Amino acid sequence: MDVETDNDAVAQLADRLSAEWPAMFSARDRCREERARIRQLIEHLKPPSNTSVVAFGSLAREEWTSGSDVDWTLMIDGPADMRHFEVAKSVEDALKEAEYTEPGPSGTFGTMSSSHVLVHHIGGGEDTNQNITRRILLVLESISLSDEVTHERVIRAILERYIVGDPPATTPPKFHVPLFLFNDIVRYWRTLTVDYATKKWQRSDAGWALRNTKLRMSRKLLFAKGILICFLCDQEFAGSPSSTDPHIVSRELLGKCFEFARRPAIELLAEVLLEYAADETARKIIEAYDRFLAMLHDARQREHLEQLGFGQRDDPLFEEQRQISRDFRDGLEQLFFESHVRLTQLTKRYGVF
Amino acid sequence: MRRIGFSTGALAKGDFQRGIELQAGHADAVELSALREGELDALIEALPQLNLEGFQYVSFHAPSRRVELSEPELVDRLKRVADFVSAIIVHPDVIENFAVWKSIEQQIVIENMDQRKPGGRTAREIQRYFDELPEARFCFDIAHARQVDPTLSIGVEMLRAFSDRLVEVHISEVDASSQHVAISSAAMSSYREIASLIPESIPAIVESIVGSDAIHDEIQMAKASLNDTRVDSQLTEFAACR
Repeated sequence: MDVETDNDAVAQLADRLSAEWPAMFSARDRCREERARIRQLIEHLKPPSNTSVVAFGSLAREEWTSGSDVDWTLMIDGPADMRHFEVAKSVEDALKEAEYTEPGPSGTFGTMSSSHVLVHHIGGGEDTNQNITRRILLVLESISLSDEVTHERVIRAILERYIVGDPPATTPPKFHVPLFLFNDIVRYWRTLTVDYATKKWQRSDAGWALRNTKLRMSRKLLFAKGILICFLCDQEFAGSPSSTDPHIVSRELLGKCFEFARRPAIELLAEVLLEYAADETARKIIEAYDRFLAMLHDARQREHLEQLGFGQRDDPLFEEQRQISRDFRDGLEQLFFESHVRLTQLTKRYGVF
Repeated sequence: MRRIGFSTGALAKGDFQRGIELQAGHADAVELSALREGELDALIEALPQLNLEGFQYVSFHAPSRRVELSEPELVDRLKRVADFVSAIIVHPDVIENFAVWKSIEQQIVIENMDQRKPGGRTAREIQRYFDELPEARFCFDIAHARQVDPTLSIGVEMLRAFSDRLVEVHISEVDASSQHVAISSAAMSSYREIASLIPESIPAIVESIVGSDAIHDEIQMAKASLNDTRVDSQLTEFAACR
């Protein structure tokens, strides 16, 4: 529907800095090819109305590398129908037949999911790890492979809970940081970091080095995107609403938040870097990410990291990736704390206390 | 006070005469519906003789799909309608060749679509029609907008983007299978939150498919949904019971 953006902030930034970032641009090109291919596969299955096959992860981030898998779900936003299960199974079979790597064993992806729990179970005892994962990833990192209307409708419904369902006490109404959403994004990031430690413990360190690297890079990028979406809703960046009617203001804010959320993480980050950061900061962040993607796409290096035991943490490749992740972190710190007065104020105010 | 009335198609399908008679005394606006192509010629022939006294606003709904007629043939027929009505409502997906529609550009009113249609559902999707037909105006179907997006944030975007083109509102509730049904209390509550963007000068056409005994109640429900003044004082209680 309306989710594609004509802007190409990453390319603009590359032009400005005379940078090439070959791994990033080729990952994006591959991603678009794979998306088109998978969409065609799914189109043949004729999924029913009020459902959408939704992909997460690298396919949504536009970072398709040689080791990428397809994390997907059949999102249902309508009357229950026993045939939904058959459709989910046929999606699974089609992807398997086309030799795509299956999603991980957690059960979060590769099956059906209902919009109702995503919208209604935010916080509280019923908001499971799986539910928060699906919900936050749907907002921050998802792309529809069929029926964009249903996909977009569910994202907007989730954002409505965060924004319209939690109006600020201040009057007159103005654009503001949606704190409910912000806190849930922070909670999700912290959940990821805790789950990293849990998986490392439960799996006796198997695969820890690659997970560690991803946590420091692609997961952190997602977190940065989440923070930016919320901060860009502040009136300093979003401007003034066109109405004083609180119902209209909240929907305009929802619309803005939705537009930011639909951009791939690296694209939104590049937009902010173009506008508010020094060239040196922008270069540090994107260059680090490009090097990370180059490693992910190199099957030999990726496998090497995957096989490393915790006792081999002084491995040169791992050490190189750690240095890349430090550059990435330092660049993000410069962006959030040293680039723009209001961005720094918001980061301190909402990110710390 | 807002002019309000039913689409003849909602009350009596292709029997436009009965659709007019059923709402006489309840409504001061009416939309003459030729939603199916087969209904078009009979309605056009009858137009000069129709008794539309009592209706301060009369619009016409063009067929939602072409079957036998070519695009120029359809437009030629609609030209004959233009003198009798204030607006000709057109679904955007009926428009394929913009040049053909140029001759009635000022009379046509483009309506936003429900989720079944591949386009015309959002401000961005509709914009291309106004780019090509800049004199055309806009009909906001609030039920379609809510089906596509229950938060109505897309609806707000459309009302903002096309406020200077808005000439008619369609109101009803659309269910999961895209049928127009009576407005529920949940829909009313949702509509009220964006009603401030729909001035009272804009006429409302009810598209809910209801029986003749429910016409008055549905009009009251539609008025309440649009936050109109002078609705029945007991309406809130009434809505809660539906």
